[in-house]
Amino acid sequence: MFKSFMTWLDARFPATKVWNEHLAEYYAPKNFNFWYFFGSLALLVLVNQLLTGIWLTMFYSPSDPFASVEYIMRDVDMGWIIRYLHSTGASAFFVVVYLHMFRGILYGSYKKPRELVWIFGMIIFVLLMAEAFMGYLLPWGQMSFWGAQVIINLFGTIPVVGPDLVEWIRGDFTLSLASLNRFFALHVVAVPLALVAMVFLHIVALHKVGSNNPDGVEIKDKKDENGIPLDGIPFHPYYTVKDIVGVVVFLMIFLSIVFFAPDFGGYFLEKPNFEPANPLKTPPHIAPVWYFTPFYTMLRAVPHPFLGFLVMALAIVILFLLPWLDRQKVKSIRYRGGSFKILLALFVVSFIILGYLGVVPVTPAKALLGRICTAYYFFFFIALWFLPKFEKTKPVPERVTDK
Amino acid sequence: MKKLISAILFLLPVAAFAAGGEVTYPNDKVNVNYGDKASLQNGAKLFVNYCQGCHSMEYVRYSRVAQDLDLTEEQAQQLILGEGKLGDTMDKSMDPDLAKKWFGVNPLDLSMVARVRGNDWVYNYLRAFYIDKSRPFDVNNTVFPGVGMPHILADLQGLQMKSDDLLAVEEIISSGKARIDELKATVKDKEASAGAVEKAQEAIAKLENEIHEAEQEIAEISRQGKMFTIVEEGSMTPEEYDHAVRDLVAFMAYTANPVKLKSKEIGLWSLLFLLILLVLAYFLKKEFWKDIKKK
Repeated sequence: MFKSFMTWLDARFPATKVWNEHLAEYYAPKNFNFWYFFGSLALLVLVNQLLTGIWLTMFYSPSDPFASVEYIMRDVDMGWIIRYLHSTGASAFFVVVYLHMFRGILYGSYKKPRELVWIFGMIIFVLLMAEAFMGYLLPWGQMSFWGAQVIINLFGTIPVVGPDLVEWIRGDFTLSLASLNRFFALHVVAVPLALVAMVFLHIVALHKVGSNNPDGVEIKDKKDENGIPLDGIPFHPYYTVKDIVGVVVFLMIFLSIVFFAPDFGGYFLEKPNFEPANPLKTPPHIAPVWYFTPFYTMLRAVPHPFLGFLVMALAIVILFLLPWLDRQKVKSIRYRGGSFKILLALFVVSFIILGYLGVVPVTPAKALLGRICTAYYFFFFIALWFLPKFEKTKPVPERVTDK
Repeated sequence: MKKLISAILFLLPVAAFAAGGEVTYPNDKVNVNYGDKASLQNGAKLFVNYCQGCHSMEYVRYSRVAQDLDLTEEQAQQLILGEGKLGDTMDKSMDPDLAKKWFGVNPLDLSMVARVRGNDWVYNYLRAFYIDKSRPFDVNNTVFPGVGMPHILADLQGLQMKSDDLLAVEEIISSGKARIDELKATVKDKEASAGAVEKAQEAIAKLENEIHEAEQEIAEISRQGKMFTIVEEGSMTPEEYDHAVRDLVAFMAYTANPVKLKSKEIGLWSLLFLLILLVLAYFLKKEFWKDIKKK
C-alpha cells in the first residue's frame, strides 16, 4: 500500500530522491563532535520562532501594542508560555548561531569549497539581527522605544541623506505607531520569508559540497568501490538519533530559562520594558539586548557618530570576507600552529569583553578597554591574512581520526 | 540633527551612569512568598482600600485575582470598586483628567511596577515617607526624593521624621558638597596662586573622603533601622506596618507576574519529562552507533 503510494508520488514529485540526497544517503563525516549540534539546533529554534510567532500574531495588535502583549501574558490561555518561548527563543537563536559560527572558525569550515555556505550563513546572521531588532520593538515598552530610537538614529549619522533617510525608515517625524506598524509587517512576513529562503540555500549549498569535520579533511577524497566516502555515514539515522540527544539537552536548558527565569536577570527581557513606551521620558540607562552589545561597544568606541557607525558596519562586513582573509590551507585548529590558537583565544576574550562593555555605562577606563578590543577585533582578521607566512602547522592526516 | 544624534549616542550613557549608580536608603530586602495566599489576600485588600483610589491595575482582572488568591465569590465582590463586574480590570476610581489637575500627573498604573522597580524598591519606598513641610503634601521620601504622592498609608504607619542621627550625617554631606563647589572655583580660578590651588585640591580630596564615610554611615543607620523617628503614632506598630507593606508588595509582585508559581510547576514537570526522554534518546543513539566501526 505505502510502496505503491510512493511509486505514484515519485513519478510526480522527487520525494524519495530528496529524502535520500539530504538524509538517508547524505554522507556526513563520522567524527562530528559537540560543536556540530548547533546547526540542527539553529533549525529547531527557527521552527520554534515561526510557530510561536504565528500564535502570537493571532493575539498581538500593532495598534495597541503594549496592552495586547499584556493581554497575551494574562488573558490568553497559555499565552505567557508562547510569549516566553518566543522571547527566550530570540536569545537562544543568537547563542546557538554564535556558537555555530565559532565552530566554523575553529575548523575552517568556510574554506574552499564551502565559501558560499559561509556567505549564505552570514546573510542569515544579518537577517537575524534585523529580525531581532524589529521584534524587540513590538512590545512597545520603554526599552523597545528608546533602543529603536538609538538604532534608527544611527542612519541619521550618514552625511547628506541621513536625516531624510531616518524619516523614511520611521515613516513619521518621530518614532511612532506608524513606524511600529511597518516593523511589524517586516518582522512577521518579509524577514521570516527571507530567512527561510536563505536557510534553504544554506543547506542546499552545504549538501552540494558536503560537511566539513573537526579534522578538516575532505571525506570525499577517499571513497569505496560504491562511491561512498570511507569516513562517511548516512545522516539518517546516525545523526538524526544523535541530534535528538542534543535537542533534549538543549530543551532542558532552554525550558529552564522559559519557566524559571524568562527575564534572565534583565538580559533577555529588560526591566524598563515592562513600562509602556513614553517618548517624553528617557530611561536612565539604555542598553541594547545582549546579542547586539559587542557591536554596540564598537559603535561607542569611536568618538565620531558616523565613523562609529561605519566601524560597526565594517565589523559585520569583514566577517563576510573571512573565507578569503584566512589564507591558511590547513582547515582545522587541530593541525594549525600555536600562533593561530593564541590569536583565536584572544579574539574570543575580546569579543566577550566587547559584549560586556555594551551593557554597562561608559567610564574612561571602560572606553579605553572598548577601543583596545575593537582594534583587536579588526587586527584578528588582518593577522589571519599574514599568518600562513609564520605559522607552523602540523601534518594533516589522510583520514578522519577518533579524537 | 547631528547634534541630537551625538547627544543620544554619547551623552545618554554618561547620564545613565550619574543616575543609575545611586543607592537609596532604606535599602532593606523584602521576603515575598508567592505561595502564601493569606499574605497575598491581605495585600489585595490593602491595595483596594488604599491605592486603587488613584492607581489602576489596568491589566489585572478581579476574576483572575479571585481565582489565583483562592477568594470566594463573595470576597471577590468586596474587592470590586463601585459598580464593576468580576470580569473587569482593576481600574482606578479617580478621573484621569482631574488627577492631572490635582497631582500634576496621572498616577502611574501599578500592574507591573514591582517588575520594573523590583520588590525591594517598592517595599523601601512605602516605608520611607517623612515629614517635610516644604512639599505640597507635607511629606517627602528618601527613596524617591521630591515625590508627588501623599503618604497614603499614614493612618497605618503614623508620621515619621528623619532621625537626628540621619540629619547630622546628611548635614555633613551637604555642607561638604557645598564646600567642594567653592574649592573647585578656586582650582579653576586662573589668578589663584599655585600654592592655593594645591591646598584647595587637598581639601577637596579630604572632603570627598569625609562624604564617602558619611554615606557609609547612612547605610549603617539604615541597617539598624534608625533612619526615622515616629512623631505621630498610627494604628499599627512598626513591625505590623512592615508586615502590611510586605503583603502589599507581595500582591504587586503577584500582579506583575501572575504566572510565577504556575510557571515553576510546569517547568519542573517538563524537566522531569525531558530527563526520561534523555535516557531513552541516549540509549537509542548508542544502539544505532554500535555499527560504526572505530577505524
